[in-house]
Amino acid sequence: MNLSVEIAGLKLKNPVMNASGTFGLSEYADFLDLNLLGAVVAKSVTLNPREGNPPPRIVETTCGAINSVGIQNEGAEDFVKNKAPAMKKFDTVFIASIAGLTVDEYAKVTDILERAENIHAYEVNVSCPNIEAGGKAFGMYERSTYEVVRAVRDRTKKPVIVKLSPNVTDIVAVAKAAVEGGADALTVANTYLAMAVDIETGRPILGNVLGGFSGPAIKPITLRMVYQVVNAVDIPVIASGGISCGRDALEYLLVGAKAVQVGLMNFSRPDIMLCIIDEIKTFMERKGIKDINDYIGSLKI
Amino acid sequence: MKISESKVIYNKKIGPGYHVLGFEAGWLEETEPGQFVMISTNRLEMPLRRPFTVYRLNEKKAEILYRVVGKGTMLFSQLEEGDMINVMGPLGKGFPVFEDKTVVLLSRGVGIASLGLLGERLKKTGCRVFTVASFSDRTRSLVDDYIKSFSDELITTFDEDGSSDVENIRFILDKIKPDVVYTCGSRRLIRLLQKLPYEAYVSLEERMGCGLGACLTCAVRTINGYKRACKDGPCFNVKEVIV
Repeated sequence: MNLSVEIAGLKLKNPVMNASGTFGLSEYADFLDLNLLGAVVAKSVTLNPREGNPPPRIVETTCGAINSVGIQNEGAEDFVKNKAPAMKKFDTVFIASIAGLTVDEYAKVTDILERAENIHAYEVNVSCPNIEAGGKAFGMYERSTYEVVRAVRDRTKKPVIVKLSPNVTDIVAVAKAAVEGGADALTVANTYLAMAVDIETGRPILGNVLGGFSGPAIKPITLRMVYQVVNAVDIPVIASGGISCGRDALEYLLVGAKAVQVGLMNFSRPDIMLCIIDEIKTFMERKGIKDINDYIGSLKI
Repeated sequence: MKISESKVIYNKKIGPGYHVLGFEAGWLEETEPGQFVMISTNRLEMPLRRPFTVYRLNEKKAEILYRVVGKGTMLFSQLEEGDMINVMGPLGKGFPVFEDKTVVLLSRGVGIASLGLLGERLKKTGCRVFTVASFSDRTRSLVDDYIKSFSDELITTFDEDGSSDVENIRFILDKIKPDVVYTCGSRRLIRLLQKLPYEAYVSLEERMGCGLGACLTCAVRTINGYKRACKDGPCFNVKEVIV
């Protein structure tokens, strides 16, 4: 049985990886062997350290949660020096995630990350709703998406994966702008701009007021976007949105995603990605599917 | 630390909105005072676990003491004997434990839940344990036989008669002259302790995601920047935290 997939020249052992920011390279090693994952995506880094948003930073809502961490990180230099080397001992595709407040910052972060020895690809986070006031993100607009992707593309030969924002009028238009900017693959999608309020205190629950909504509740909406994007562009799409079991992952593969990312559910079940991989295998056995690539995009309409 | 399915042994209502949940947890025996567990009811509509300090350990079972504040704790309050929950723990950095000291456990409301295991341990290490427990009124007192069992002296204070006033708490502490104070449940009490000369520690609470130090959602403000309640805490020196 073959579970391996290829994305922009990267060979993944299987189509399951974590979503950026929902997984700790050291914290989760107790629960699962990172060698068993298709890839590991690091938390986004910016040029300079960011202390993140004021707490509370997370609130659960029915079938999901809203977070507003705000890309708390120690900066790109620290990542290259202290974080990336920890992945050297694993034989797993390692993807770094780039964030920034200006096009120039994305360019500078890329230059710094290029010095790391063991980064296989970049995911360009143009879509974090927690980094600028009002939830604004580069990924909300075609032009700024193009500019950021182009800036990263011009600085590296490694595969560039662009993580799109779902907070757009037309995801296909932004996807095409990313392709034009030189993207090798797309991740569809980041979290949905959302908020929660407390009727007892009369105040917002999150310190940042707004946050990004993820979890099982959003799966049908992201599934729709993956479907639309897969049918509009020629580069591979990685699906990310509300996956909590093998069946969810298989739904995304069915509509044409080459791989999937698991996000929120890593919090409550640190070993969930291994369960999902097993469930995909069981499904393939049951259906007599020898190669997962035969299943990907096999949706009949 | 591990993740395990666990059977609910009892779930007792002990006051208005207050419950004690007991569950099978032999593996939690090594839990340090102030450490916590993350509990899930395995329902997709509630994708996040809830953090609770271990209140008491007793013959291969663990107890948490909690107040119903939202949908999650409301659901927990409906658990019955034999129901299964999923427990991850023990987690986090607990309280420092000293020997042969005069200590005060200073709690507000359900904050006493974080000090039970600590009081029992401190009693065993030869400390003189003064428990100063503050509640809004007598119907909400959470002092039980367990708290009494390790308290050399027990002082309860209430809003209804003014005895829980910060100045009165200061007066009580100054009379005891403790070597160490442990607190949980009140920002007012943290601020008071920051002004007093006693060594003091607090168990902080914040909305939490993974409980493992990865997601960075349970940030608490300290003089050294944001720290993670789940990994760097939940127990901190009061001089370190900004409230």
